Amino acid sequence: MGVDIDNRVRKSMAWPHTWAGVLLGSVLFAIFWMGTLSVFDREIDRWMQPGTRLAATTRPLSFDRDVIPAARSVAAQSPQWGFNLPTERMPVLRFFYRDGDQFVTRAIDPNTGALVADQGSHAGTGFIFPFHYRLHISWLDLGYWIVGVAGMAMLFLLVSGVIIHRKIFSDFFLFRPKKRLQRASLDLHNLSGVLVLPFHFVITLSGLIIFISIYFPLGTVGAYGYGKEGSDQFVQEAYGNFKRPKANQAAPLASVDAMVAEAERQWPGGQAHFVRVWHPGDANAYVEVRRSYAHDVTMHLDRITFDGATGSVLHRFEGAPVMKAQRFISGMHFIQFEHWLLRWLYFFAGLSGCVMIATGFLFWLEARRANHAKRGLAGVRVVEAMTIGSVTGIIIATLAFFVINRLLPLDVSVAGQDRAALEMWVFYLAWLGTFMHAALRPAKPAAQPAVRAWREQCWAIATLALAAVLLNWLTTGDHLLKTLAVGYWPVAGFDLALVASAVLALLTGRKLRRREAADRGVQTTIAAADEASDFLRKPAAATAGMAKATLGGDARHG
Amino acid sequence: MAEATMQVLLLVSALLCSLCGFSWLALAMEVHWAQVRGEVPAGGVYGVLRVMGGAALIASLVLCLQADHASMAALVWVMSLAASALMVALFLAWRPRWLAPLVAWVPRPARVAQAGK
Repeated sequence: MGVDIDNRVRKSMAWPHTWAGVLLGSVLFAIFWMGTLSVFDREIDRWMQPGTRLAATTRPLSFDRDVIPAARSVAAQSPQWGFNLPTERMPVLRFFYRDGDQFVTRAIDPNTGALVADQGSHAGTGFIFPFHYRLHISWLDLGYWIVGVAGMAMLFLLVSGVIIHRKIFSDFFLFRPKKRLQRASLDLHNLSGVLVLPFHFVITLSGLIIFISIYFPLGTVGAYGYGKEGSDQFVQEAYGNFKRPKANQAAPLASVDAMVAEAERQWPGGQAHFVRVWHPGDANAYVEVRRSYAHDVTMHLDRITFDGATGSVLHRFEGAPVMKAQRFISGMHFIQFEHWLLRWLYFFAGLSGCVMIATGFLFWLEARRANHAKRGLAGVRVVEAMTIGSVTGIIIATLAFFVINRLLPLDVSVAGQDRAALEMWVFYLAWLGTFMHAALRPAKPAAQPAVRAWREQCWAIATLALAAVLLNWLTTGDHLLKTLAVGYWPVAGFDLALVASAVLALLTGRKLRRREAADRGVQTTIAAADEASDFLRKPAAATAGMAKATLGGDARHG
Repeated sequence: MAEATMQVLLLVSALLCSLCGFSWLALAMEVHWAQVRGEVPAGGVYGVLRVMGGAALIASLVLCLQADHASMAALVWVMSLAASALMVALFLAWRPRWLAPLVAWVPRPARVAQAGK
């Protein structure tokens, strides 16, 4: 009786697992892919914004000497200046200021206090990372909601996957790559799912918890009531915002260095990582200094606010217990801490998530291919084109984004779109192109995988990846031998990753070509039978097919 | 700098421990033992391998806790378990013989030794 219930529960989970996977798999792959890249978003910034490839600071940073004058030179009238202090992974000081209702971001060289020229690229932190959590769809916050639905579906997919998986312990290490694609992809889907399950579950749940105010607003509403006053009070109590209006009287800013030093003195072992000046130049200016979380999982909310004119402490804030818990859970997702092994482990875990989603698609396709071909259904063809565009397609689009970054001149502008926007256009157009390519290169015959499309996209990946490495050399002079020799790891690591991707794509392409030839040879007799039954409906195509079949598999085709 | 080197050594050791741990746990299963050694081992070997495997995974946790503070170490350990398990699965899929040295100390069953020569 126990086994009976088990089987019924398993079967009942199979249908929703399959449908959630097929419908949301593309979005989930995009989220996982961009998330995995975001692990190294600062390194991507170095590569895409060569002007920020600075050596480590040789002298201690001084706000008063270097940073404030630079800020004043471009943003003297701005009501808000923000500064992200340099870190191990971000050698520049990131300066942003409010200009109307927009924010402008610049970089300051901490060695000289000079403003780094605008690089004209959103790069990792500006394009890849935001894509991960809102898909760059800001209309009606739909991006956040699509990601949220996908995230909640992912939790269901993980739990239902575990329920469906029959022999989770005896099949724990099972992977048979030499078997048929259907078996091999299911093995790999289970492997990447089960072995990395704690990561997949925690990363998904923590992702939803980060945006808890969007996805679960009733918690806040229950405690603070509906309406702006309630939500303002929540934000103030949760994040410790201090507000004070302008006095409309000019006054010089006191020493920010002294404020930072005082804050660090008050946080035992703590360091500052963020400084914001409100109403700079006004008598009621105030400066908030926030605590770094480079050595902790929890993303500290600790902040101390100083009076701008006198430097005295106005307000001290530390997160309350529930907020600290939320910031710990968020910290497990954001991984802003300095720990290279853990960062790389997250990267490979993210890639395993991508493999899990892709192999899920491959299994779905192989399990239904023969059936759909026999019944003349379009399902496999449509999902296959979608899969190719979602997997190799988004990789091609990302590589095109890197390549165009090296090709566009700094002050280019087309149809009112600036350089950074044009890079994004290239990404989206390339991605669209891969879907069209996949749709236009279907499997021949229909009962076979669309190996041609996969193979051609693999060649595209290899070409673009190597082109990116070459272009980095040509446009910046920081070729691999040089960056490896001086140990400039952000750029060396990125170039090496590109080379590794190219090699992987080339090997996959070759393997696909061999499999295509083998499949064609094996399927010759089956194809002949199929074409014979097609004869009455499509005489011309059927005759051509029979001729090809009788001549046998020709590896030079396609 | 010595502190950083120490941390690297501890973490590398932790990874090697979890790699060995999962290898032993995998080899305690008949299907994977057969991939690596071919013949059925003497009785009790599977039990010993399971204990060794579990102990190695615990040792890996201890090493992680020496390298970082507790919340970071817990994350490193869980993630390194996933990485090690994946590597063992890939070894078993493509190069099972490479895991043979880890169980070289297990004696071959008597009857095979007699039949061999």
